[in-house]
Amino acid sequence: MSSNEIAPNSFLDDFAGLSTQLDVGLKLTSSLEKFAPVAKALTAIFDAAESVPVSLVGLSHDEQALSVTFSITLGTLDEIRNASPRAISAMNLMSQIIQRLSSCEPVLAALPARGSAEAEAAQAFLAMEPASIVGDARVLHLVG
Amino acid sequence: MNSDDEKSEDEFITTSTNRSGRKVPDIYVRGLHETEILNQAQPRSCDRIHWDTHEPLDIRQIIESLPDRNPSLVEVFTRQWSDGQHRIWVTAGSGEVAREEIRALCLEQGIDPINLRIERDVPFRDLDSIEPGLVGELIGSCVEWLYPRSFSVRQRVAIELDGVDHDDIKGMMYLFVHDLADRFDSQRTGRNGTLNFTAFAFGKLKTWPQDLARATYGRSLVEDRVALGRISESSQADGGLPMSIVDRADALGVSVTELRRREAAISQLAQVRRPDMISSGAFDEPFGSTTQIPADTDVSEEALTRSRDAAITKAIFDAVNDPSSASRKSQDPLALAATYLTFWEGLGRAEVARQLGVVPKTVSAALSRTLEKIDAESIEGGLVDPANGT
Repeated sequence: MSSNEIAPNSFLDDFAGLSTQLDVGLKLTSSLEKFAPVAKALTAIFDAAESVPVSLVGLSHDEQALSVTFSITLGTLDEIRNASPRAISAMNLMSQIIQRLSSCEPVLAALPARGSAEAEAAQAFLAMEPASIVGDARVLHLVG
Repeated sequence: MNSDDEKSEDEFITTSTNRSGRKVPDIYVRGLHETEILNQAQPRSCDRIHWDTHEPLDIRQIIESLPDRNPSLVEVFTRQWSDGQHRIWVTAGSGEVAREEIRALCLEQGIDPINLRIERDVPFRDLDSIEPGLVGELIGSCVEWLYPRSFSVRQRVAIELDGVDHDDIKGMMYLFVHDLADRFDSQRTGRNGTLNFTAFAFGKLKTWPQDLARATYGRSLVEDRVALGRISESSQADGGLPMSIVDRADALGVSVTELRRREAAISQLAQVRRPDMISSGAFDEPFGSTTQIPADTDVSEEALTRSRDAAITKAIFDAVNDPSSASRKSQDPLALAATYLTFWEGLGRAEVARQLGVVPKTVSAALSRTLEKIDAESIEGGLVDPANGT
């Protein structure tokens, strides 16, 4: 992250007094042809941990591989400090991804800066009309 | 120190701050008292000239040339300190003359002397003239006494200088005492008699961490960081909300713009320093460039970096999230949060503490819990060769 970009987590103290939380970035990289089963596995893992807020915040690709970055909410500051069940669930969710999708080399990652190419690509993907693009086609549509 | 020291160690004194304490023992080496050793080189008052060069410099050649070039420079000494700078001591009052001669001699060799400075009227003892081996053993004995009695100082050195391991500190302490040794004035007396060598080094040890950090990262940057850390900690100690940037700027007596500039400099320093703490060489560039892959980057070429980052990520999760363990901190979201904000958001310890609403000491403890459990071999073992996928 360059020094003039705003760290996405920097809002933590800017709104002291409101409910503050920490989001952790997790990035996975897969070849294009293997991404569909990866997406299915991810969906299953996310479905099993419905209480943990997850959002797609970054997308990047080249001709062979696709990287996706998820923002996973670890919890509010109190939940983190007290190791609450919700924070533990978030950690377990991340551990599941790391263990079950090790072929995608999950890595902790800084959340993409707002306005970065990665973040813009994720926003564009999320704004797509879901009905018009289904399954593998949605991924292929994204990467052209 | 030998058995004679046991007696002196039990000797109680009243310190300069009117506290009751034990007298720091004198050192004996090969049956010789420290004063007998040090008196082999009489202390003198000197001007010390020190400077740096980009290229290697034969300082012995300069030492030999100085008396020929200027007859007033009769007594000239040199001694290597651990910082690698060149140092020459001349009789007090001759510093200016010597500095100009040194500058000319360097330039004649085609070497640019950088930051030639004089420290005037400093005590100096030519330790090279003492019987070989004695000074080394004297310093070694001193360190053996200091080391177990300086836990908090050692902790601060490890915290101030990222990349410094606890195992490195004893060797660093030896170099610290070695650098001090030529300045020790064995004739100096206090309320409890003559100051001995270990007491002298013990006194200097208090400011060692700050001195090291200043020498490593630059004086102004470290002082800014210390001041900002103090303000942050005092705010948290008062139980108040985190201070706004305006309050922090007021407390430091600078403008908000200036504070932002200083905080950015400190943050950049942290980004450069932190990565090496987890895996030496794991990141070739400051954070960000390795963790973000913009859309126009060749993702495949990042494969090796990704494998390494993935191994580190797995090792961190193994360290902070082990549901199978019955230990109290087996699932430790605070440790994950502190690790993430430190290494992936590039925040310093005080800033992480502020973000998480805890004191800096809690952040240090959380980071230590993670780093202590990380298995370096598992990181190396987890690397995947992108060429064959194994």
